[in-house]
Amino acid sequence: MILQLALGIVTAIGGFIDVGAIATTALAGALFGYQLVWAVLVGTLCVILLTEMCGRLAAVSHHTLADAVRERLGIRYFAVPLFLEVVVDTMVLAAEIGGVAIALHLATGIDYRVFVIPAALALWSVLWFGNFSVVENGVAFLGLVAVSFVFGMWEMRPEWGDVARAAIPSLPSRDAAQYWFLAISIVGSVLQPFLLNFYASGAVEEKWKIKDLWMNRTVAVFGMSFGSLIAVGILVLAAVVIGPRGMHVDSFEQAVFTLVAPFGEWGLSLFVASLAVACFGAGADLSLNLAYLVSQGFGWNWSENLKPHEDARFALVYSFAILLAAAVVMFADPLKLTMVTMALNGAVAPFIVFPLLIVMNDKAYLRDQTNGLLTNVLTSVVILIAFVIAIVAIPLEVLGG
Amino acid sequence: MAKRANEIRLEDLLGRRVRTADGRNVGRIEEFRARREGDYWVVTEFDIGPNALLGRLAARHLGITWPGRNRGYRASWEQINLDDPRRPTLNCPVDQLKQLR
Amino acid sequence: MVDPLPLVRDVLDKQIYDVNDAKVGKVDGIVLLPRKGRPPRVLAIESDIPCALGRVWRPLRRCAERLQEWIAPEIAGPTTIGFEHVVKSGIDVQVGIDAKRTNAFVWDAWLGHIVALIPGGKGRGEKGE
Repeated sequence: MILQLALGIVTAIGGFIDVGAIATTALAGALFGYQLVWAVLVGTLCVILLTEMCGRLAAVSHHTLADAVRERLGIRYFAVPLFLEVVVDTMVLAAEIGGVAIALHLATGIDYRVFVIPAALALWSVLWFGNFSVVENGVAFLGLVAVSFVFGMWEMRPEWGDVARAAIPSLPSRDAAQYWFLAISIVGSVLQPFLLNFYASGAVEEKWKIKDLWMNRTVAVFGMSFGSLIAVGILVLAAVVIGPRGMHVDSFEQAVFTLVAPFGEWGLSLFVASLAVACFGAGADLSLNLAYLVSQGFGWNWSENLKPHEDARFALVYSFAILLAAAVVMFADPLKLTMVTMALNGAVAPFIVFPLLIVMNDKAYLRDQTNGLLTNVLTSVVILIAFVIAIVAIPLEVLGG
Repeated sequence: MAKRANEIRLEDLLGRRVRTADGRNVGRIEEFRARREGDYWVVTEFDIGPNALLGRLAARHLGITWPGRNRGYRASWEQINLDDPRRPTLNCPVDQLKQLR
Repeated sequence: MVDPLPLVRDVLDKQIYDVNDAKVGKVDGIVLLPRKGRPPRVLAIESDIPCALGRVWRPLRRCAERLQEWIAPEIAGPTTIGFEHVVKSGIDVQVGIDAKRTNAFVWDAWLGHIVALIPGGKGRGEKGE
């Protein structure tokens, strides 16, 4: 049971850190110092609340979020988040494959485009030949290398008082449009809509039951919190190492300095490994989530634990998604793609979070585990935040992106 | 199962406006209530109006109800004419319909 | 008297399971038979992507049907299960038949033949070994 819990927490950490979290926090730290720590924390609190609910839904009803939204609100409503999430998830998947390719470029000096097809093929192979445990636990353990950002932050001895004070939201003293664009992007990189249905689907794959609700809460809280600590580590390192040098994070090459400064030569290897594994893991999660979304939406047979010919439609969806994403990243700059998609994540979130609130109060699904008043109020606040982000994301992207 | 000529789809009726014989709008069909009759199921009632929609979405669990007095109606099968499924009409005056609370 | 069954809330869009607990699809449509002087009969539930897409936007139905007919005309068509086979409904719809007797799995089977040609598509032993 302890092992299961540890695996769950490690997997949640892995799901938190991806190319979006690395890019947005590094850029935020370089431009605004510690000032945007609060955005990481806001996103973390939101994602803890929402993933706990999705895990609870799956454990009690054995239905995922996509199942419940289709079943409760009908295909006409479901088509909207389905379409939006498929588009955004495919773009984020392209960014993650790009992140893996960039990591290999940093390690070898060869143009990242050379590595796009091999990275996509490796990702597809893990899903095609592996099962859910292999995909999640295997990649998650490798992803623990990202803890080097936390050790690096400790090593660089920032002004902890200033870091702590940055947990409280503050107004920017300059470049307001860019500041708020980054704030939204950070929240969008943390509160990624795909995480919610993926978390619920994983809970169904792992056959969680009511007796696992305590594990769901523990994984949601501790897994996301540790992931958040890594994201704060990246931001602080960028603030301490990159910002004072007047550098901008226009590419991942500059972000490497966040680990080179504390660890010297080892820093490059640690950064490359962290970026590659985080992006690979996130890519696997996104590919699977696309297949989960479509399969659950139309009621098809689905499971990563089945052989591809046993759930052919499910397997072909993630295969096609990876192919399409690889094609996109061959023509788009991975860092720019990442920043655009993180803001779009925020724009899509309300369409997914709002129906979650309805479902979580339905006794037919949750029996005696429906939301309490406090959870409903907090979820309503998250929906409000999500709506504000949805409205301002695109204009801010134009003004400050 | 062979398709019969006069079969209609529930989803084509769902959301259709129901009008009185003289063309006044009563509301949209939001729910179909069925009962078992022997070996088969038959639609015995139609719920019309906004409160029916809220009930279907279970939004009433959140304490959401439609404001105002007119929250919708429940029509029994013989009170609705489905000869033209695109334009369902009432076979009776509106005040003979059961009001939904 | 038993409460009436709300068809939209408890049947439409729900996951269908057969007697073997296999996923058959979602209830994308319900077929009714209006009858003169008698209440309309609930004939069948249907699971069909064109039907589902048609509920979102009518032209999508015809597009999806044409696409299915172009890809595999011999298997294109909805899965229709008589409503008398519906055993239970609520979150899910349970039907009292083996869905293998219907055309519910034809697309998975047809695509499965293609997938099995790709290395690893058929697998050996448990997946992931």
